[in-house]
Parts: sequence; structure tokens; C-alpha cells
Amino acid sequence: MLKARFAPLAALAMSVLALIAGAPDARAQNVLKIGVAISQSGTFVREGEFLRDGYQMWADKANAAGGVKVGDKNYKVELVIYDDASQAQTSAKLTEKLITEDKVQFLFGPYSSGIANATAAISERYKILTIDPMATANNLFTRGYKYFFCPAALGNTGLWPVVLLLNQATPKPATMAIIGPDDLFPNNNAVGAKEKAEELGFKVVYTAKYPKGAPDLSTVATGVKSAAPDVVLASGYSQDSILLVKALRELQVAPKAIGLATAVAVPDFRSALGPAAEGIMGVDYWAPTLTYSDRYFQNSQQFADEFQKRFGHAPQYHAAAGAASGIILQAAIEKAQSLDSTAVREAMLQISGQTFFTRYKFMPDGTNSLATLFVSQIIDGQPKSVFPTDIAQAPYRYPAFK
Amino acid sequence: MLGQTIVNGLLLGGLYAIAAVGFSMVWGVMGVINMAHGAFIMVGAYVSYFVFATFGIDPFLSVPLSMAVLFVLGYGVQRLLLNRLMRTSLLLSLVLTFGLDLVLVNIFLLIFSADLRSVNTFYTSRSFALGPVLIPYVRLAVFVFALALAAGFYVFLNRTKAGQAILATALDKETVRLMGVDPLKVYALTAGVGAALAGAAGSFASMLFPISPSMGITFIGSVFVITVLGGIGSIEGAVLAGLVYGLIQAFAASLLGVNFQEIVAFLIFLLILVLRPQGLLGKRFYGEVA
Repeated sequence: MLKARFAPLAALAMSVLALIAGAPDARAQNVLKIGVAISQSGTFVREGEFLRDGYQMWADKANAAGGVKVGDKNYKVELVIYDDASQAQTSAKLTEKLITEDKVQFLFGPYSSGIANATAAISERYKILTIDPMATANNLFTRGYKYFFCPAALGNTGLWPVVLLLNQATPKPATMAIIGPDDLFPNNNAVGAKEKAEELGFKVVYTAKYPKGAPDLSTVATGVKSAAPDVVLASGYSQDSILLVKALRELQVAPKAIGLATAVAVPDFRSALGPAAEGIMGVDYWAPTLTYSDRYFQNSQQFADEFQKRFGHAPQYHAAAGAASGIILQAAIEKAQSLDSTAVREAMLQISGQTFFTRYKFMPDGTNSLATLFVSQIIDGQPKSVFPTDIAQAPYRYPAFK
Repeated sequence: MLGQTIVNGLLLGGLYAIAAVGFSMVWGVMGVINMAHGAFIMVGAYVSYFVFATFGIDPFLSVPLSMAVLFVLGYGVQRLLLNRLMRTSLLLSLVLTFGLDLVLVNIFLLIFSADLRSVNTFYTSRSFALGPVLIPYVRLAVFVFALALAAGFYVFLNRTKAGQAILATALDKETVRLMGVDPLKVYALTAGVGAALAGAAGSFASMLFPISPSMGITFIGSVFVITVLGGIGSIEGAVLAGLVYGLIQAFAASLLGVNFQEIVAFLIFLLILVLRPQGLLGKRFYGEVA
């Protein structure tokens, strides 16, 4: 009887011992650990997963090519990934865990400036280099952080391409409404857009901020309707932008153009809106038609094809930005010939070049002076880049809606 | 603008009302606070979306299907899991349903990924004018169906044997045994019906909101407030409170700014708890039987 009682416990103990004894000795292989605390659930789950897959894409490419070379050692890239549930506090705790317990050498940042706000403080304290292409709020780069870098264009410029396009439109729209959720990145976009718009002579007749997860935006749409602006700019994320467009249509608000700070090229955005998506403009960081190249990808189309094969769906700009971050980090590590964050940070300021996603040259504040954005418009159900004109695939439509 | 605000608030309130009725019922009858109610709504939304995407069937027509699916889910959870807890502390039911919520959301994340989906029928985003006010077709239809469903549920509770058994068990679960009613079976039935109503709310929601596995989060907070506001266990209370909640939010958003809609709604909630804790239409003893 006694034996029977203890048998399962004994079996468990044996298995645990076997696991420990049989576990490969990690010290035998050179490993470059990069920590990733990112949204795999919660409000930003879609964007977080896109970004994470981008980081992973680079890791796989680097490992397939033999790893990251420092001196005569080849380091295998290993991503240590945790879910921050789209919560800043959780992400900060996980970042600390990655640094102190998992002993990662570098960090790839979380999705959204709001969350990066919390994690950047942690990585700065421990002096661990972080590259985060999806943390573009300007105030992240005015704090004197030395270890936080972003290869993508900053937040306040998020709606500038649309404003510049509208500035050239004929007849030029006179009034504008700027709406968005009350969150770090959208607020950045909204403020930057308002400044640029007023600078170019537009009159901003209505602004509104709504709670990030608000399920209903009919009140905002009602407000926009009373103000009757010529054009509407929205600084939010996919989920609320879909709600907003639907609410505007329901209340028969008919501006001559709607410009979003988020990407309209994302397929589920278009399928979620159906025919209502036609004519909507969005701002893009990246499209597969770009022609920059780097050591792994001849152009963006090659990245898109390989990503599709690896993950089973087409990449969005978050994934492209993630992969580019890895390529940039690798370039800096190989320049510094070291895995020490401080040395690699110095190297970040010295390197310049191209990734399939963007050209780069970093400033001491961590920003990329060569980052750019462009406008896409949904024309006949497909997103086409329309501005700036030198990379346009099609002429823009204004008024955007029939 | 005033008229439009009232319309916006009322129409949305109808959806909130039906989302809260099931939650309120379960709480009132069994004292179980179902933290997975939001997830149930989400499941209902996905059922309708799936049927719409595969067969092109309008979500209003697939409401019976999502109700049936959720009934099975709710009944099963109560019968197999929660009924074991009814004899112990009811706080455990909070923990269990919270865990259930996590499991459901993550299962759906795995199956459907986080891609946002939406139901687009030929009348989505279309509206008609009634004087100075615009009434969107979808919202009006949801409002009507939601209230009809709530009314049907009220009739079920008060005029059928099963419904009477539920009400009786809520009043006194010991005595009801003497009437030949097994409280555990009644609990399972109540949970099933409560979940079915959540499923219906989900089907309605699929036409109004982008569908994703985490869409239940936006509901659980409001549903909680509406339940307490209306009186735990009272259907009329839940409906009334749902409409009031919708109106409060619409007016707060319109007068103070959208940022304030949650704050004002919760302030009113706190006021009710202080001034009239049994809610608008709740009875002092109802739902308080241990």
C-alpha cells in the first residue's frame, strides 16, 4: 500500500532528475540572448504578434547564416519571449526579469510607446541596449536615454504625410477634424498633425479624445457631424479606427477625405470595413514595393515572400520593422565586435546604411535621422501608395469618396 | 444634437441590457459572479461571424444557433464544474470563472488569431432619418431584438414551470427541495440560459463591434455596473439599468467629452450603491439568500 502511494511521487522525482541530468549544457554553445516582452494578448495582441514575428524572422535568418559573428565566435541568436498582456506595468516587470533572471544581453522592445515608456526606464537603469521600432513617441527621446533606439519615423510625424497631401489637393480643404484615443502614440500624432496643419493654413474645427478601449464612438461621430469639417484625421489604432469609420458612416458624416495614422494596408482592416474602406487614406511605414536592400533581403518583396512562407501570412509593417531592428542590431554588434551594451551602443552611433525597411543613421538621442513615411489609399479595394509622388503607385483620389 | 445623443444612448443601451440580463440572473439565483460572461459574449459573436462568413447567413438569423451553443457551454460549466463549488465558498466561483475566461479567450486566440473581424451586411452602416435624428438600421434592429428577447425571458421566468422553479430556488433553495425540485439541476439550467442570453448579446455585438478574442473585456465592466444598478437578479432592473447606462454614457460623452463617459457612469454607480444599494428595481431579500 505504501509503495503504491509513493510510486507516482517517485516517478515524478525520477523524471525531474532525468530532465536536469539530460538537459544540454547551455555554456557549451555560444548563445546571444535577446529579451522580448511583448503583447501576445490584450488590446495590442495583433500588432504585438506582428512585431514579434518580425524579430523572429531576423533571428532565423541570422542563425541560418551561421549566427552573429563576434571575434572568432559564432553566436546563435535566441529570443526569450514573454507576454506583457498589453500592460505597461507587466512589461516593465518582465523586462526586469529578462535582464536580471534570464540575463539577456540585449532587448527588442514592446509594441506601443505607452508600454515602452515603462520598459525603457528599466533597460536604461541596467544599461541594456534596446531597439524598439514601434515606440515612436517623441517624449521617449527627450529624456537623455542612451540605450534606447528606434529605427522608424517618430510619432509626431505620423499624420504629416496626409496633411502634406491635403495641402496639395485641389480644391484645398479649409477645415479639419482631428480625433483619436487618449494614449501616448495617438496623442503624439494628433498634436503633431495639428501643428503641421495650422502651419499650412488649415483650420482645425474639432478635436476629440476617447478612451483607448471605447466600444462605442457614436458620440464622437455626432460631434464631428456638427462641426462639419472638410476632412477628418484619426490618430488611433486599427480597432478604434474601424469603429470610427463605421460610426461616421452610420451618422452619414461625409468628409471629403479620411486619413488614418494607422496602416490601411492591413488586410483585416479592409475586410472588417468591407466597401466602407474604399477611399480611406492611411500612413504606412513600409510596403513590399520598397526597393531598399541589405545582407539578407534584396528588396522588400523578398522579405514579404520569405515571411509568407515562414509564417503563413503576409507581413505588415510591424514585422518588417522588427526584422530590420535585428539586422541593425547585428550590424552594430559586428561593428563593435563585442556583446557589451555600452560598446554596441557606441557602434550604433557610428553605423549607417540600409535595411530593406529603411535607411538608417542614428542620432545620440536614439532616433533615426533617415526614417520616412508614406500615404496609402484604398483604391478599388487595394491599398496603393499615393504620396510622396516619387514612390506613388497610383495618383491619389480627392475627394476620396463618391 | 440632443436628439441624436438620446438615440445613440438608448440604442446602445439595449445591447448592454441584454448583455447584462443573463449575468444578473445567474448572480441573483446562484450568487455566482460569472467573470467569464464577457468571454461567452465573445463566443456568441464568433459563432455568428463564422456562420455569416461561411454561409452568408445574417447574424440576426443565427442568434438561435449561438444561443444553443452557449446554452450547452453554460450548462456544461455549471453542471460539471461550478455545481461542485456551490457547497463551499462562493468566492471560489469568482476564481473559477476568471480562469474559465482566460482559457476561453486564449483558446479563441489560438484558433482565430487576433485578426479583427467584422460582419458586413448590406444594411451595415446605413441609417435613415427621423426628423433631425439619424437612426442606424443595425442599431435599431439590435435594440428591438434585444428588448424582445428580454421580454421573452421574463415571460419564461414567470409563466413556465422551469422559470418558476428558477425563481423559487432563488428564494429558498432548501424549501424548494420539498417541492420536488433539485437545486443543482436548476442552477445548471439557469447558467445555461444565462449563457444563452450572453450568446445572443454576442451575436448582436458582432454587427456593431470589431470581433476579436478580447472583445469581452469591454463588456464585463459595464455588465457588472448595470447588474448592480438595476438590482441583482431583476430582469426589468437590468433592462432599465442598461438603457439608463447607455443614456448616461451618451450624455456624459456629449457634454463633457468622451473621456468622461466611464467616469460619470461609475460615479452614478457609486451613488446608487450609497443611496439605494439594492439597485433601481432590486428587492432587498432577492438574491441575498445564502
